[in-house]
Amino acid sequence: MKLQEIPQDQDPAYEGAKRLCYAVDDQGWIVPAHSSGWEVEETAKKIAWQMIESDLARIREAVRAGRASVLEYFMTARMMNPRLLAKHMGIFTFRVRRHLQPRVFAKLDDAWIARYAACLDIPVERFQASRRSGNV
Amino acid sequence: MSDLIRFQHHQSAHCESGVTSNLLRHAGVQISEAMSFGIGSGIFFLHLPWIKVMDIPLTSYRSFPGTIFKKNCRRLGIAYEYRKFRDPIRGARALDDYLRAGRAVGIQANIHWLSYVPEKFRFQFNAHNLVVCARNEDGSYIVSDPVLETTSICPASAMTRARFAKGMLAPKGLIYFPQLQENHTDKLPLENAIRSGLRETLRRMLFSPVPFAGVRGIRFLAGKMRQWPTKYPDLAMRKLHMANVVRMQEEIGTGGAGFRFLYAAFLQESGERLGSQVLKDAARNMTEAGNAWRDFATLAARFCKGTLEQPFEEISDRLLTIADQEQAIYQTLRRHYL
Repeated sequence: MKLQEIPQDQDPAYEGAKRLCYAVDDQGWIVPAHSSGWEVEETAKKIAWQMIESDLARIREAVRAGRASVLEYFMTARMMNPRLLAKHMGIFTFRVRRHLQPRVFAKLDDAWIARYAACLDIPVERFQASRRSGNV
Repeated sequence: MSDLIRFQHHQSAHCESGVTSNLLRHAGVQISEAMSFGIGSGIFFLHLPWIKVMDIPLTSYRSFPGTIFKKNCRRLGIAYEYRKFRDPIRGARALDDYLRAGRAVGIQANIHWLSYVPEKFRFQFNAHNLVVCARNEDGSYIVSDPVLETTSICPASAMTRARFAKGMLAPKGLIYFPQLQENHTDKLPLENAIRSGLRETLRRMLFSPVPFAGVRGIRFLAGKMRQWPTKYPDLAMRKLHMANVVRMQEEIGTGGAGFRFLYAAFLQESGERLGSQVLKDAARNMTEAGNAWRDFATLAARFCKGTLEQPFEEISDRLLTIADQEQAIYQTLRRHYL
């Protein structure tokens, strides 16, 4: 890749920042240079995010319908799975899996909610409000 | 307190080689990012279908995270500190102690919790590296994240979360830095370090004992890719897998073409340093291989966009060509350096 060939496709995900890449200059030296994004990278990144966002949308609907718990939504929003969340909570995975079930989740006391909220870095009030309304 | 350390921030393509080179330069050892990447044997290839990262098989263009800094120090004969912590409170206190003593330190962190990073890059990835320069009066940290253009501010809570995130490759509060006096003038065994770095890379790329690593790994991925249409009948799933390979190659701080351009820069710089035409030629060929990787990514992206119907044969043929291309480079180098 020559310096002039470095893609400058203004990837919105960069939020105006530029990243460093390496390319060949006129004298044949491989030098660092800036890029504002490449369409190919943008496409690949979009696919990954579309997956996450469609998962979240599906869970949001399920929460509204009472088929999933608010906890599952917040966990997914943090890009965690039950195993990772359990590690952060310091409890067994099967307990997290159990807590994810709407019926069990509804019975969790405030102390549990506070622990999960702290773990996922979500304000307790927001967590509790979502839990009461069933809306996320 | 923040004027205690005047840390020179240099943007880099890859976080780990960037941190290593920035820390060493701060200590008075002039070493470029490409040089530290090569000495640390940063380039690699690995495809592990049975290890899932966010439910997708792991593909990696780099060596195991956390090894570049250590290898640089060891090969250059530099003493270093490398500390992990079990207790977040003690880990945070140790960080503050170093900063108060006027020392900039490298840390490993989970990128998801680093609020200054653009949102779309904040995946649950535990092996991001950055330098913490100083602590502000309000408790936040001044950090030099090598993949960003300037230094950033990181809140204390985010810092602790990022340093003590759990899961695969958990950072465990890792703090590391070279133990050199500033303006250190001893002559470092740079040429030997280059040779050691090169040798390890050649061995790992050419003579992998397992089929999923090195040049064999590239062929392995090509073979697996051929099976995707039957293995993943769902088109969205196939796209997701293809996009992941491209992301690992282009998105995650690789300097383009899955670190191949960065490594070419190392080969070129070493060629100058050692006066070796073989290395300079290898640099040119490695750039060519990088271009081939980019063509592969372009094709893969066209599939992800839906403008290419059944590309699996074509795309995996590309991979096979790249594997041959890289193998030829390493084999030429091997005759002179192994």
